[in-house]
Amino acid sequence: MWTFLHKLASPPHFYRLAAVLAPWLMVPALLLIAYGTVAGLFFAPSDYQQGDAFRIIYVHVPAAYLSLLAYIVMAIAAGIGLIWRMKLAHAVAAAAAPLGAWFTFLALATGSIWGRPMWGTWWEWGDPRLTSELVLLFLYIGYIALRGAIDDVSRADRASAVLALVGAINVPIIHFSVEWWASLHQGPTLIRAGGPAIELTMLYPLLAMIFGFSLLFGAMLLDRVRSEVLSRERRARWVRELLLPGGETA
Amino acid sequence: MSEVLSMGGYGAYVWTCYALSFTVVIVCFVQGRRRQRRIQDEIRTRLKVTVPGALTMTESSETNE
Repeated sequence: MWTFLHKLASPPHFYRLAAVLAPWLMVPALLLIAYGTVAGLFFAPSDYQQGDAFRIIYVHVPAAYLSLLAYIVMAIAAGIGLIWRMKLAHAVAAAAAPLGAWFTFLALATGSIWGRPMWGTWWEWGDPRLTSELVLLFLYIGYIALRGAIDDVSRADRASAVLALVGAINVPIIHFSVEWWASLHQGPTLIRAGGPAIELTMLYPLLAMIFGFSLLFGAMLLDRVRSEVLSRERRARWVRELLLPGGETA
Repeated sequence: MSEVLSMGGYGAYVWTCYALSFTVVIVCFVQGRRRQRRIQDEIRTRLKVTVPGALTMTESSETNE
């Protein structure tokens, strides 16, 4: 087990393994998203309250879910990097941040567009779910900016890891915001006491989208961790052998 | 067909959300690939300059430490 982990954490090994693994995540991701999109847009019945506007759920919920998942991945990786001084973990944290920022932006944007016809407003300042998700976006942006501001990679790793860990307090706040405080935002549909409150023909496309987006996130994360590893290892012999003219390109 | 497009009157909202989602995912993916290519090019350029003195380069990082 330890030799396996040690080998996995070795940059050249990870670099090769990630390239092999990514397509195996990407292909099922695209299939699930294709199914979820078609079934969600055309085959799921209209919602009895929201009509067809509810179909926005199939892109909004996966985006919001990933905005949190990416943060959890980032914070755990940053923590591992801090405690065990593992460079690969810091690379994972650094790679997760821009993906998380994109999905947070998408969750906010689709939520806003959904809110306009349903709540009669694009945005409501002071709403706990909306505000905490916006704070999440700022955390990602702050994390990326902090990394960009520090030239020395290992110092950037440590400083940004502390920010990621402190900001993690926002994750449970976002998740429970709709239960703790009065919010315009509807309550949880899937992860709630008593099981999912949704029709099966509406549920399956949603699960497919969440799962598909997660796999897609995994594939894109692997891609970006490879870039991080390459950038950090630019002086290593294996990189030289990999990228020298005549050598194998990847 | 136009019924599908209109989405019970919510067409503009629904289609905008889906278009935006696919755009963001594609941008996300392309951004990652571009970064990979840029880093590879940078390293290659540097290697071409320094390869004559390659022996003095750090031998490092077969392991994580």
